Amino acid sequence: MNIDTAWLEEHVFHHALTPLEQRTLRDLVEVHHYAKGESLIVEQSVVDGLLVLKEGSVALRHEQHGQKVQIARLEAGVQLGDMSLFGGGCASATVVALTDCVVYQLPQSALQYMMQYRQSMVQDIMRNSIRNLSGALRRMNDHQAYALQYMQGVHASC
Amino acid sequence: MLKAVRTHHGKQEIDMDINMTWLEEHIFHRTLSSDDKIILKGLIETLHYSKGEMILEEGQEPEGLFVLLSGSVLLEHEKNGQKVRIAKLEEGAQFGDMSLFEGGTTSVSVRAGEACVLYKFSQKSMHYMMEYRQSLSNDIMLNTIRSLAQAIRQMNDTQAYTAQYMQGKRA
Repeated sequence: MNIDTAWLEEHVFHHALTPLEQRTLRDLVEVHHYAKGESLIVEQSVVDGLLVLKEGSVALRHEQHGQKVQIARLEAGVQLGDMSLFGGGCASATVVALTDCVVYQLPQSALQYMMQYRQSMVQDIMRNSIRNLSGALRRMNDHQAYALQYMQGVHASC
Repeated sequence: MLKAVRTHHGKQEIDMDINMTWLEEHIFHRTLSSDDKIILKGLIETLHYSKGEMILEEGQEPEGLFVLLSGSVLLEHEKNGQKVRIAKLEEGAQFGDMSLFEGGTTSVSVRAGEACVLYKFSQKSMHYMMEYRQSLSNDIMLNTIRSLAQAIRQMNDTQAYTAQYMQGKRA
């Protein structure tokens, strides 16, 4: 299937790619389809490289005290797997398709090739990871502050 | 070895030897070349803060990347007009990186939880490294991702706990 390099320029690289870089992506990126309800990533498993959600929406579910709790809903454009890819360790949450999804995957082997021969592309991907993770952490900080106020309020009224 | 003292935003800034071994261990995760070390000495500032002093204010423009060499800092986030303490960071933690790389304003206030020493890479220093010392800036970006990933993993746990707590209370 054709890789939409213009979409990747807009959502991941944030600048126009050279013809050589576009060809590199067409050679390296894999396209995967997931039906609603399927898991893209399973918590505590090893993720092969980096996933970019091209179409659809997914839920992040994290296990706590034996229960799966939904902690976020993510839409097209988001990167997945970068925490374990760059940060080391296994997947921190299960990612489930809420709708039918199309996913672009850069397997670990492709990223290793890029680290060796297309360093500026890897730098762009790392910058996008930082943007993505920063955005997630900002939302979590906000939610955490709200939850703490809620819990203190509940405690106060008991 | 102390070389000079000048002020930085009213805080004491002391030029002292940069602890390269510490930076190799906590930030770069590799042995730096002599050339890298010379470059870094010219780019890093050492800042000292007393307990309770404000280091960054929520909503301010990015100042650069801060690395906590010693001491601890408290992260506070404003919600409904109140400052809520959301985290405490210890030696080796990075902050200021989110607004630096993302381009937004600072998302939390950072206050010294006890007397602390910080290494600061100004925005100018970071841009210099991105342009001329990509291996150094790549290492810093990787460490930023590691640091953000660790914070998110901790937050996932906290968020799942608070979601369960709030559902339980509602029930």
